[in-house]
Amino acid sequence: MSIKANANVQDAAYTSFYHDAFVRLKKDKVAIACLVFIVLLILVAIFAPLIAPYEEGYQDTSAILEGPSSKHWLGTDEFGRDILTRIIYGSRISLSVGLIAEAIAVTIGVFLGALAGYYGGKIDAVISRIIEVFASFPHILFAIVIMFVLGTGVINVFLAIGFVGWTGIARIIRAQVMQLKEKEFVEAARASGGSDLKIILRHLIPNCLSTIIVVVTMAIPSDIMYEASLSFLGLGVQPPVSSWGEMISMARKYLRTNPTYSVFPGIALVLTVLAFNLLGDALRDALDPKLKNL
Amino acid sequence: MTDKQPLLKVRNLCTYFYTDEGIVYALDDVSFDVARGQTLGIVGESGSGKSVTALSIMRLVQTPPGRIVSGTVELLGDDILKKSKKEMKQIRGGKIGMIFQEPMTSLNPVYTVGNQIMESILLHGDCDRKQARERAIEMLRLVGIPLPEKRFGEYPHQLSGGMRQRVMIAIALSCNPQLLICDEPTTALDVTIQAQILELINELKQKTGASVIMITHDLGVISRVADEVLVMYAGKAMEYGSARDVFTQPRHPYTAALLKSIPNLEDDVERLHVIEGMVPSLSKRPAGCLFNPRCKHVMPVCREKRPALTAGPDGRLVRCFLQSDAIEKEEAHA
Amino acid sequence: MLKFTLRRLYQTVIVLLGVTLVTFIMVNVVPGDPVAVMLQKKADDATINRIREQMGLNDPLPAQYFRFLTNAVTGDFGNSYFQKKPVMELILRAFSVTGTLAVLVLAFAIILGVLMGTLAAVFRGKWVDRVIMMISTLGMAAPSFWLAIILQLVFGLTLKWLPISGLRQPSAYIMPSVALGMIYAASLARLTRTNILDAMNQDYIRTARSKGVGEFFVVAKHAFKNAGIPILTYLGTLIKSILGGSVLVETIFSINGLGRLLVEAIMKRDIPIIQGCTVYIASVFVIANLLIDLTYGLFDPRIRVAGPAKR
Repeated sequence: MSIKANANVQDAAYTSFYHDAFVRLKKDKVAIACLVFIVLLILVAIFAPLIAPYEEGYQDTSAILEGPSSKHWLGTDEFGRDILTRIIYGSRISLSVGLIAEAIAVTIGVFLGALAGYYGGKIDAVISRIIEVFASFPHILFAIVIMFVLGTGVINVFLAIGFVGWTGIARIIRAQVMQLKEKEFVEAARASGGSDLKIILRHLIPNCLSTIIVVVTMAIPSDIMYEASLSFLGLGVQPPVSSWGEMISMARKYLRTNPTYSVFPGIALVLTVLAFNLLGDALRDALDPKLKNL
Repeated sequence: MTDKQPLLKVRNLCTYFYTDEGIVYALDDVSFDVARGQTLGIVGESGSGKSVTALSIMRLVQTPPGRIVSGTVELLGDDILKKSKKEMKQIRGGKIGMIFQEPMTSLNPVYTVGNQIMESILLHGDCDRKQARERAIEMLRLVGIPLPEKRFGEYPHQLSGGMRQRVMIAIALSCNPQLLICDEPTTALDVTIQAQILELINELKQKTGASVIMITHDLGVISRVADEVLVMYAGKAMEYGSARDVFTQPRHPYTAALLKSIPNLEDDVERLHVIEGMVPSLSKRPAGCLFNPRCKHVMPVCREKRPALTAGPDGRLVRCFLQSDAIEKEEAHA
Repeated sequence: MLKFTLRRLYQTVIVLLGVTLVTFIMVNVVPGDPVAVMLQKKADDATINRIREQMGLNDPLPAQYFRFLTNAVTGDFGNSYFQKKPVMELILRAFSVTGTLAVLVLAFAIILGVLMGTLAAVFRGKWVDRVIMMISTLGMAAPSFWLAIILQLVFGLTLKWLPISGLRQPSAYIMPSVALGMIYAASLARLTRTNILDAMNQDYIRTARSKGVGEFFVVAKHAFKNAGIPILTYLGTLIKSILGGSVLVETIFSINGLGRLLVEAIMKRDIPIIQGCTVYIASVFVIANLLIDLTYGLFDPRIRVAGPAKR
């Protein structure tokens, strides 16, 4: 069989595989609900200035640390800023962390994992040890040290969390590429003189795509939590930029005066993480049930 | 069939599975006897309900989705299906032992062979651990495992498939059961080992006086060990009689087709006979005789009415309009 | 098994070397002169340079790393810039606190998680299962620092049952342990459920039932030990995450543990402490993982002979 024909067969197999998975996913009401929630959240983040009841920095000096009211649905913070407004703007940070940090993590992880899995031998041994070294630091702790090195700021938060999160996906991709490289279509591509890079990019990584989708969806909620944790510790996003973690950290000082201040950003965080977690579970069940222990 | 009370008397046993796609009639109105010291062979293709028969007797059908809907399973006149959970635990492994198809996966990988044999002995006999251990080693020796003391402490992965099946037999027989149910005991083994295992089962049957139900898709196996044969198709009994008669003069076209499909070394046939078509989906059964879509002798009536299982002059039961015009009574569930 | 142990030991040493190297590189690329930070800009250039020379900071980096490494092996991470005490002393004092907390969190997570997961698996599809799965799904989404605040709000401020911060009395350990342990209990419950259900579908379970083993022992003996292997694997990650997560709860509950030591060192740019804490925590995880790998054999005899498959 020529490679082209082979590739077409592969393509057809993909299409029907993803179609089947989509059909299975559509039946899952929880997953659909989560997807709807996430899409809504993305819209809220994009159109924050239109949706938020106040401007991001607006301070209502007549209402400081007040509980929920008709004027400020979720109350106000210590500067009289509207909490709902800040939560809406905070979704921008959480979602972009999920997106950008995970993009960084996936790029590093897939690249190193594929190299290790494809070449095996010494290269695998070296990369595997590197993975182990970086996986030896607790994620949050490693992110803290990176933030110390880079300094605080939104971009640095993305970099730190992205650089912390790549080891898991690297391990999974490595194992998967190791299995895949023995398959006929890879042998065929190699036999007809495809370069290693081309084989990895054109044949191996596309075949790992379903795994990558699942792992990414399941990693996004952790990334969101790491961002919130860093900002909570004062090492992440700095005020006046709104971040849920930073809000919770501030709210901690006013537990007695305005207890709901700490509750609402937390609920936003929990709901977002929950939606991604459940969607990740559903995607895993539909696309890659082998990853059940993730 | 003897007029003495049979060891096991199964009557009108129905086990259905209630699935999203509808009710699966895995076992539909099946009756048979197992006489003392005799071997009943149950034969059929996969999906014919053989294994469900075994699991129903043990009451190990997964519930839900499966459920034993009706019928009786009498062990020496006592209906097993009416037993309490506790009494059932005493019967399983005590009065009835069972061997499964997959020796590779039927033993728990994290416990030693000895532990798994002893477990059964300790559950059913009143003896201490030391006696149980001795008994377990004796059982290993009995099933022909060399160095039983050493094997006792080994784990399943250290044994070959044939050895593991011997261990399974040792477990099943460790409490002197009256009945041994073997569900495809040799399917996963290679040919020479198959013969050894069958010989072992036969030999132990003689020694212990236990009755055996041998479930298999392989008529060759049945012909070696069975006294009587029950041929099953799509959850129903198709033909039931003494093994010798059924093999020499099959009356049901399905039995005949099965016999033809045994590879025969003496005839120099170019190709194997294969029964064309597939076992029907047990939730969407064809009208008329269940075998009619694949039957070479199909008649118009076969496509409309369900034939009843009727006895011939010699007592052999056959479910076919070629033998009798009797029509099956309307089923209770219909 | 001996070969496997030796290979694992060798790998562990390599990984520990890597850990020290990565940490060293990270803290040494930080812009700014540590001595200037230490002296808080009160000294002139000549003094700074003299102290740099004394501390060996003018040596080439490889030489500095080598010195750091040889000292680290003997448990010497240098002195804190500000507290003027050996870093190791500070770490050990803080770790006795964090260690206690971590053990409590681990115990809470394992007992609750494994119990709930087993119950959910046994009552699969029933309401017990649904309730447990719902709670654990929620538990996995609640960040520890937020949960800690909610606990403080409810049990500390409102009900006044538990102290809000510090560790002066035994009951003060409850909130930090629950806040940090909840997410791990939740994920352990899910993991346990999945793996017990998986084991329950295996042929050997059918064999056990056919022997007359009761349902309790089918789960407790036959399914559980098989399901224990992936749970054991998860334990390493769990220890690592707890050590990391302690940073947050220690900050919230004003507990003078390792996490707080590190965060405060970062705020003050106390490099020896940052370096020491990072290496120490990673080493605890690496060694715990080694021990876990060596105990696999207790659960899985297939590994006892051959050594675990490379993960």
